[in-house]
Amino acid sequence: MNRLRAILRPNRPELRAALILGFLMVAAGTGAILWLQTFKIPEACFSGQQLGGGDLGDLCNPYQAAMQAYGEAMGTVGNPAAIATLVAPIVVAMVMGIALLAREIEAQTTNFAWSIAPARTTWLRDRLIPILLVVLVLGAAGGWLGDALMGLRQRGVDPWRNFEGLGLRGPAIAGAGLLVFGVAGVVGAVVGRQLPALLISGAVIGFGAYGAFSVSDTWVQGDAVVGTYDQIVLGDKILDTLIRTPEGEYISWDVAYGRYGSQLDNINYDGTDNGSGIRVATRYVPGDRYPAAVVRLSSLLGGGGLAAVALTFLVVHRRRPY
Amino acid sequence: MPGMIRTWGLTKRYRRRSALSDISLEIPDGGVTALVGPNGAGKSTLLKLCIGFERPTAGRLEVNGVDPVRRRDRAIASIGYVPQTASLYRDLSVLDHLRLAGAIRPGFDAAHARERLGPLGIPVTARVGELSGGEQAQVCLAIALGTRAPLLLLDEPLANLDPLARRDFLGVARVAADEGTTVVLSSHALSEIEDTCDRLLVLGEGRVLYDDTVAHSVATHRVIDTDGELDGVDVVARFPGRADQVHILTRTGSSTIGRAPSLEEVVLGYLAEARDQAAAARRGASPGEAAA
Repeated sequence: MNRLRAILRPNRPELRAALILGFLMVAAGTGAILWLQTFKIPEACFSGQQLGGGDLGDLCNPYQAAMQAYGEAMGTVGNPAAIATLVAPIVVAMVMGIALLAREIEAQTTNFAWSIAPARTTWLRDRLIPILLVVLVLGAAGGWLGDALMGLRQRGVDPWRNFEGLGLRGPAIAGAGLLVFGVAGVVGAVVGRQLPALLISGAVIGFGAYGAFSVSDTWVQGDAVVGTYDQIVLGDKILDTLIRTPEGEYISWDVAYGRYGSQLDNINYDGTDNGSGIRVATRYVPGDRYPAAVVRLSSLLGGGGLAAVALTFLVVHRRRPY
Repeated sequence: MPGMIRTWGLTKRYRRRSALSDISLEIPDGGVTALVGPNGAGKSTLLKLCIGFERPTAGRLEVNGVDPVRRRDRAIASIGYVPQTASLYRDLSVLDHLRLAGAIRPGFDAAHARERLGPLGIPVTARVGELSGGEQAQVCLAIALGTRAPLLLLDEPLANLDPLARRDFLGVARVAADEGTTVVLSSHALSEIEDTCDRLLVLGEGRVLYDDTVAHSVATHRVIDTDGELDGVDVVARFPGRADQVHILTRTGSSTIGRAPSLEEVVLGYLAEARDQAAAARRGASPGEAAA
């Protein structure tokens, strides 16, 4: 323990800041969740289609004011807390990644450390692993809180069956934290200056995240099914609408207009047949595909981060300490 | 006994500039070797090659029998290093540095390092940023000594120190050498290290200009304080002295010629010889003509 404290002593300011920021994030997220749970509104009243209709109308009408207050609370507290659960782990990951090497090389303290430590990779490993654990724990906590807040934002929908906010909550936050930390670390090791490393890392992370989300999106589209609009439930990811021909073929609206012309003006948009045999269909990804999608996206982000960490070891092994 | 540092055809180039050109040398085990030469002579480069901070462009070297390019970890385990500018963590205390060194260096002797700092009055609880340049250099030296490495590389540590701090620093280095550590001390201010070193290695223009023990250097050279033609004397070079006087460094131990040189004069003579050779090479004349 004393050895660990001694090794991490140069990073104590950032670690303290990370713990404070982490505490604030957890406090904000937990506070928002607890407050939103104080609204005693029957779960059934959050189902939009049923609100105000039949028995539920009788049940929910007394809660109209409470529901409006709940919506306002979500806007003023819940959403900012959800943003905090996303931003805090990313900021911590960036600060820790830059401090890991860019600051050391800029201050030339690597001259001291690398002349004392027989193996630089051991020196890096001993510092990197505890810091990485902090980043991952903070990311996991932020992701968990983000999921919980999503569950309160769209009540009655399991956050793990809901494509809303894919990549902005859940384990993807830990993956994103790993990506940010890894890229900031390796760019810092190459550049050896804090501000340039920060700017370059920002750009690289932007491209990396864009790439990961694009690949993830492609995979998600591979899980799509086609059905009628009434089959879609909250949490499904709607991709586009299509036309189902009388022969059972699914075609795009452009093709359908070319083939059927004005016949499309009279079709039923709820997916029922108006007698022509032409129906509107919807291509969507069922919400139960969310766990696979979020695991794939998190793995992509985390895998990129791990690759960057591996590259950091290589750079540290090769580069000059100044 | 094998040399503590040995090089064979060692060359280091930075883009077009050559820092070291095909040098082969051996620094023996024990004592204080003064690595002297003007700025840009390659002194720091040689030390950085030893500790694995730089890689040779050509040739090879060994530190305590280990190639620092192939086995940097083992080479560093033999070295205590003090860089040109104290590269310590400004926000950390001296004690934090000792603990850090103990955590990352197997076998680090913190008590030994503290022993060195004690007589100098440097409080271990003080932040490094609050210490003077001399005190920071002393902390670096104490940590380097705490490694208990058999080789101590001191890369121009005196450059930013006041005279008193220099004396303290050199005193500690001398004690370390007396206790069996091989000390290599680079400097371009020879007059200050003259009393501390046992061996002289002069670098200039990226090559070894002179390499011998201090005692032998003084015994085998004489200085003539007049600028005239000298017959039958092996002249190294003419070099300017004080008050526009010209001195001539000669290779002879005969006490009938001139006077015994100071170590600084030996160095100045060989640096002047290198300068003359370079000038002659530019003019296309032979080095002998240039020296005459």
